[in-house]
Amino acid sequence: MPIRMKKSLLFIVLISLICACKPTNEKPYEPTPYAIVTPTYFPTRTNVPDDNPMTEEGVALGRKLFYDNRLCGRQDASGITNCASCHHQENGFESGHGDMGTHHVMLPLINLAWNTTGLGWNGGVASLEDMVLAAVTAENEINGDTAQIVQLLQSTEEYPDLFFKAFGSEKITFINIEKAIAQFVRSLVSCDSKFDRYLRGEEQLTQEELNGYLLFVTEEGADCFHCHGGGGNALFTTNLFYNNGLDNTFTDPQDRFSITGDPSDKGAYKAPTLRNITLTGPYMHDGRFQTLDQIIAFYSDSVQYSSQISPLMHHVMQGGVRLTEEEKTQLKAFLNTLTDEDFINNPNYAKPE
Amino acid sequence: MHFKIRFMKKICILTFIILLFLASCKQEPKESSVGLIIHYSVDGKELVTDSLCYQNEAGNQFLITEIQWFISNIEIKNAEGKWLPINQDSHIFYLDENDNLAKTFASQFIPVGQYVALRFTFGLDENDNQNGLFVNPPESDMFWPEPLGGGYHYMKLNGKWLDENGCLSPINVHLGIGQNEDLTEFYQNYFQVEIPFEETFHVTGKEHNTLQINMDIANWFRNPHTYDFNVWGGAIMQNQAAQQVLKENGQDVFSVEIISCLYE
Repeated sequence: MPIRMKKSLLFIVLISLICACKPTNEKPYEPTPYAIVTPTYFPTRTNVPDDNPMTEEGVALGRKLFYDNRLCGRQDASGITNCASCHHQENGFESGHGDMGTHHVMLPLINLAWNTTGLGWNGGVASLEDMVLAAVTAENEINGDTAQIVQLLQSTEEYPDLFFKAFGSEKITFINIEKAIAQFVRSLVSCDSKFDRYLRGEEQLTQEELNGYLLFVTEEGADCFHCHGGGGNALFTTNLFYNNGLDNTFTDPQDRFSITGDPSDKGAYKAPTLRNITLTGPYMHDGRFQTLDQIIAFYSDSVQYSSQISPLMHHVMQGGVRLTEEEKTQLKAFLNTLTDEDFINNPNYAKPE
Repeated sequence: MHFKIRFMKKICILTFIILLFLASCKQEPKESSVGLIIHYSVDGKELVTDSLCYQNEAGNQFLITEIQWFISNIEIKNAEGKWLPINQDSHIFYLDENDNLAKTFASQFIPVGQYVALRFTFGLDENDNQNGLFVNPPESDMFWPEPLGGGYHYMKLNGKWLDENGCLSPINVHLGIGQNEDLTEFYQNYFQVEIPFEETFHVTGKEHNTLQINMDIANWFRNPHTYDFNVWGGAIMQNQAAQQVLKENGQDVFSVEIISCLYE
């Protein structure tokens, strides 16, 4: 056989070998982008980190993890817990009761895809990804060990494949656990309350509810809208921080001042969304109010003066906005229109089958 | 060899002449960029927020915590009397004293020539001031409730004044659409500001120009009306008489300084 022919044969054999070595069972990594669908009056700019874009697979994985007892990394019954142990869908993903052993009471997980000012009452946690790590490792929350959690999930049959579909690797990392749960939490959107349907022209409010809305958005009424939004700010929060006159001395080591160091932030906390407010008590950072009636009574008659009070609390010198009993009832009626039954019953947010 | 050197010399001289010719043909610039920045002062001194160091014409001691407002329809007038818009990206700009200091918020290339004045709308006119114009914060946080006329706050100027009882009472100078008492009639409170330049502004095409708009907060509370917080109170969204006073005082709140830097 001529040398040239031998070389050609060798070349063909080599190529065949290389082709034969190529794995035939390689899975494609093709995540599907996740689209948040909202009404036209909702903000269009979401706060989704560049390194954690939302995908159908990521959200689905996050949802599974959110409800999975193995998220604590322990298998003894006494310590088993997960995100949903405290964040109840029927309470707007809040606990529905105050004493959780945490420094502040819980804030609901509602429309956080649009939150740009940090998480928690003082805004001290920069991102949902960071919040997952904090909640999983905190002694008074899940009290988990990240290495144990990763090891436990890696040893399961289903999770490596789900992580591959979401992030392109079967090797589970805690970073990807954070990312998946953050994606699920960003997918929790409340935009179908009675007030939403009123804004969309689909349902009329009662006269009592309309009177309550008028109080909500007028400076000489209950003056809620500057901090808690309204028709022009459908999140029903500015996500900013205010001293709302709850107290006149400030000793909480975890107020907004603890983050900014600005003395004018003493006693200031994030204005929470009022969406689903009837479901998310107890209220205020320390859970001092159990009912909407107590909150309305506070803003009406018991606002306390201090040099740190937000300028937006302009009725402070009268002790509050001074509502009549009828007005208090009307305001409460309006607040009830912010309850979103679809949100608390949405099967896409519930524990997966 | 000699021939080669002589040939190379000729080539070099020719190249030099061509380059010289090309340089002499370079066109004179026809336009220059102009950028706008915002500055805040009180009685001519730079604003210091959260400091109870100011006193208005009525004798009220006050402090300022924040200023958020809209400026729109900014135009510059040339020596021939023609107004040219400065709206490269938008004709409405949201300004926040926390974010906008020393930042260019609008820019535009304008033709070489002489310019004599700047004008703009304080707030939003009725064409722009529509519900739903902004859905994203911070602009959406400026919404002005529909029952009070709708649209957006023209300005939120927040602070506190030392009231007659020695307490720091809240100031909410919130300008927007005014209303009568039963919320059935509405009043546009935006206004146009025209500021002639102290000296003719020469645009030569060889410089970058910055126009610094200054808001002197003290002027909101004087001329032609002395504004006393102890009389008017701190909040004015539902007080058209107070809004009218501030609208009239607002005419001399703004001034312009021209800063030009030659291109390198």
